[in-house]
Amino acid sequence: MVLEAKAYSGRIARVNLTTQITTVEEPDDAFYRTYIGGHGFIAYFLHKEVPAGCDPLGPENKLVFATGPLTGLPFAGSGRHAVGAKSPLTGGYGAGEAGGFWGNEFKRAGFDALIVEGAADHPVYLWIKDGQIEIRDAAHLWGLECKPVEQAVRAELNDQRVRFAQIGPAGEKQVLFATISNDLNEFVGRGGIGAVMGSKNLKGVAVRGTRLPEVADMKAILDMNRWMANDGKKLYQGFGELGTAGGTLNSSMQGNLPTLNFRFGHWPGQGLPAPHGDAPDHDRVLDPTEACLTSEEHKGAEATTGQTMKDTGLLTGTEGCFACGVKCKRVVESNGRFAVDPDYGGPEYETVGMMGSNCGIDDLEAIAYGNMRVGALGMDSISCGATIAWAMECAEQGLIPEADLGDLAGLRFGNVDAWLKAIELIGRRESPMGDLLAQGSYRAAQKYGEEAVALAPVVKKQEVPAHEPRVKHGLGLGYMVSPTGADHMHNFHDTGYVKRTNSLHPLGIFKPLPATDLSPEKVRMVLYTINWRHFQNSAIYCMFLPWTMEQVVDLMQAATGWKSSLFELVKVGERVNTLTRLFNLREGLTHETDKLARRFLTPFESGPIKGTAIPEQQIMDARRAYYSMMGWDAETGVPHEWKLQELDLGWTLSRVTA
Amino acid sequence: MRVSVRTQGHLKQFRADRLERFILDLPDGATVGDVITVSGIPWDEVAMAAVNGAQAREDRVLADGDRVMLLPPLEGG
Repeated sequence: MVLEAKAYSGRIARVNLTTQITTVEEPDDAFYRTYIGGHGFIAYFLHKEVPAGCDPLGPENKLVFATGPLTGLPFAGSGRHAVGAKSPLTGGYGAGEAGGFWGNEFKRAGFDALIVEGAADHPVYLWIKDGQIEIRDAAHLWGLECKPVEQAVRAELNDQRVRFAQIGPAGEKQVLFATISNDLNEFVGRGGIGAVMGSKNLKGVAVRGTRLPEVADMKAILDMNRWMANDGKKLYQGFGELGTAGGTLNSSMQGNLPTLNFRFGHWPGQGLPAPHGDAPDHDRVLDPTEACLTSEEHKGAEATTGQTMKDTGLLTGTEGCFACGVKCKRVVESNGRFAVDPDYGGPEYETVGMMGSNCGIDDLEAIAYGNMRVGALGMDSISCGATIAWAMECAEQGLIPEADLGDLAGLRFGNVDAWLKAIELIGRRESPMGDLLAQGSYRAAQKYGEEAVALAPVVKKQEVPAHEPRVKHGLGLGYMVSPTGADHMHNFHDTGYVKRTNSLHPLGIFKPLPATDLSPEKVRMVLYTINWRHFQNSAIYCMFLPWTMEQVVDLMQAATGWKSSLFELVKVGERVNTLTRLFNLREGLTHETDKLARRFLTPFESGPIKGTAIPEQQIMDARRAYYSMMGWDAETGVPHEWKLQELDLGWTLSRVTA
Repeated sequence: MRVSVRTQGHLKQFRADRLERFILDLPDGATVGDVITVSGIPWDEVAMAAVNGAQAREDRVLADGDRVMLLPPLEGG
């Protein structure tokens, strides 16, 4: 079938690893325009084809790799793709996105998406080149870390330009937060999608392609990209200079930085901190080269910022994704106390937060090394760091007996040696404690009683990332209702809208609100933003570029030729948001799972927002408002039948079990 | 009075001398906002300021010897 829409190949590949049969489907224009790509495709295929109640690590689960119409086009932010499946961590909808170069290469290889079904009876990898798909033996790659595997695959395919999306040993062992990584430093991180790939004995998907689908108006795309490279540059410059970890100190000073298993939102310093810092010594000669912060508070955060990465020489370069001039990716190298291999990339903010301060570690070189190990083994640094931090606190409180720690004896906040050992044991599911922690904090906690469970910082059994909901109450609501469990990307960050709401003006949102506001006005902001994010993850492009909504409408039109409006595109997001909700309801993830762990309802004992917690009644009222505004039942969150029809999801009605 | 100032990230580019750390001579009663203005940094570029290690608003009045840090808007993903 020849599509009217441009920017798509019009072909979706389906590989059944049990039967070894490959088929290609050619959906019609209506399908493409309704679901767009990325998360839209993933939500559609999972809901339609994955049997209710199936084992996420069994052969009935499906793994969906999806690009969007914007993938691979010559503009900053287009180097991105999504992968999804039923998550073994949450038991519900699972999907993540990764940057780098795999997405654009896969697009050029002649497909818009790939659905992997069944399971191979021995390790294999897929080789997709210019429309041809081959299943190749991977027994010689099984058990190896990501870098040697990428090298081996390029060598045996005799092409150094092959891009490879792969699982590491963690995915092979089905660690419940295993990743699928590409280019060694890009990760489909959350929800254990790598474990699903491992359960199918699929080591990786190698792609190489030479033909980009035609677009409607290439000149318009190039013109917009020229704008981003010149006028837009000043909007992202700091980002390129310092990377995501550039905000670590900002985060601590807001009380937003997870520290010691989310007990604090900042580095508390020695003992109880002086909340306003020490008084200056007026007799001291001012030395502009001295560190500014005189108190112990925040020092650990300052030691792990992107600025420090630069100042200490750990940072040796920056890298970008396909077509992007921001270069926010860090390149780090060290031959000091730790041998940090630059090929795995440097730590992002989430890693610095979740594996650093959250574990009581402020040693940036150690964090860079730990980040490298997590990448080599193929694990989500958010869930890995959060799970280790949970175990540290439980060990400190005596909730996990020392005898149970085994090879992780002495695991406490700040113990770098034990922390590094934990990464290795979890990554290969070795030793009883490594194997237990590989299941995530929630499942591990079941063994140690109610108090241990209460300390697991999860929503839907997925660990909260490095953005403190007690600072950003709308984000907290977003964590609760996110289809994938706690997630900070298809979510709303209140602190960005306390002074102005310019980026939301096209949605009719004009009034800034305090970060801790949970009024219906705030819920509206959260909801509109989340729906836009789901669209962004369907079109799929990087959220770190300051493209305005109007520009994205133009990009979509220039790519596809559709005369889409912002209204239509936001509706896609709303549709995808609702479809993932239906999937979760069917899998038993009801409104009972839309809640925050107890810690986030507990006030901070110190720090920039000492005494702040999320008021439980307020957030439950906000949840009720969110459900209602989405057209779902106010109490149960079940979408009303007519809302499904309005979203062109009437076909799901025979599948909804409310 | 004299205060020491430290900026992070790209904020230094707004100064002609491109210094990240510098000393300012200011009249008594000067505020954090005055530091931003005198440093030549557009207010929109400063997400957060700290004085002697604690977050401070633009209207915070400074004292001799204070250490001011200016941070650009950066939020990790």
